Amino acid sequence: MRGRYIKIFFVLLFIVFIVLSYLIEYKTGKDTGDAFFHVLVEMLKILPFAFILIGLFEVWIKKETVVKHLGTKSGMKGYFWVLILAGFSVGGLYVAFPLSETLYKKGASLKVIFAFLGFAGIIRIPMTIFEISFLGLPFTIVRLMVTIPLFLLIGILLGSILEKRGFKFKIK
Amino acid sequence: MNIGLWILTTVLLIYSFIKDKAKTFSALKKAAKKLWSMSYLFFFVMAVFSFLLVIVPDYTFDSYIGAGSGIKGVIIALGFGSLSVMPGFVAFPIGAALKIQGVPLYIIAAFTLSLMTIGVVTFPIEKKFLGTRIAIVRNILAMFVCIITVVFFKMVFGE
Repeated sequence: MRGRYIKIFFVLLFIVFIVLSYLIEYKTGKDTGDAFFHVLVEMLKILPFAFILIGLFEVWIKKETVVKHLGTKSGMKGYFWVLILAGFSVGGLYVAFPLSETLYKKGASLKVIFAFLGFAGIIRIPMTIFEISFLGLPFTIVRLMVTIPLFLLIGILLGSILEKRGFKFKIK
Repeated sequence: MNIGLWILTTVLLIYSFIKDKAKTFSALKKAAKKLWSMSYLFFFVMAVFSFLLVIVPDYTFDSYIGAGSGIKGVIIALGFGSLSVMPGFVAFPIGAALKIQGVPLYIIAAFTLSLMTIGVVTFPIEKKFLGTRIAIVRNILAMFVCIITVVFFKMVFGE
């Protein structure tokens, strides 16, 4: 509740600051207002559309279907499925860690798990939709084309080294 | 760039509406709810950003992360991305605003990528699952991936 009042207070404070600046011709305030308006217009051109895409994605594509298929973690297929799973994960890496623990418990190999941890940072679909909306498709394509192979490689290398050393996942 | 987004969204929305009205409405509701729940965050970021843009002199900005900043700019962006915790919903608008300011794409990529893959603040959580040593190794490897990707961005997009 208190957080809400602080938010309303900040919004009002900013608006009053801008309006006053225009009234008394205060340059810094006026420039801030202009910049704010400019950014706001740019955001309004993008935000509603990006969120509608994310909404459609969430309604039409179910995460459960992906998780169900994770039983097949033989060879390259396993990497493919964790790539898809990572695309469906939400939140940051801090959500990926508990999920990787679940994968471990279900018998996924360390190679697949570390590949997943890499992927989880880079290909979450809602985030990617947002990235494309704001930074353009070429930006996202280059980023994915470079990072996916690298994180796959890291997953395989790190995973196989740790498997040899008998690494155990810490389970709470 | 925006036109592609508008067309794609409209086409998918119409297609979805024809296939299933109820699902489409629930998608729109979800979208509106999400947008509303984040509206304050967006307002805050935009307000702070536009204020900083005005009070920080252009040459300071430019020499730190502008087109001429080079490796220094990359290091600052990587450091900032590694240390901060913010959702992509905030990071990408900032990236777009920086792009308008003429900040090169490879520096923006350094920021967004390190933000996504390296977690200094969230390290205690990571440590719990992987153990200290492996968590450190994972973050260092992620840093290498960021640097290699930044080099690619520089080669593909230039300044």
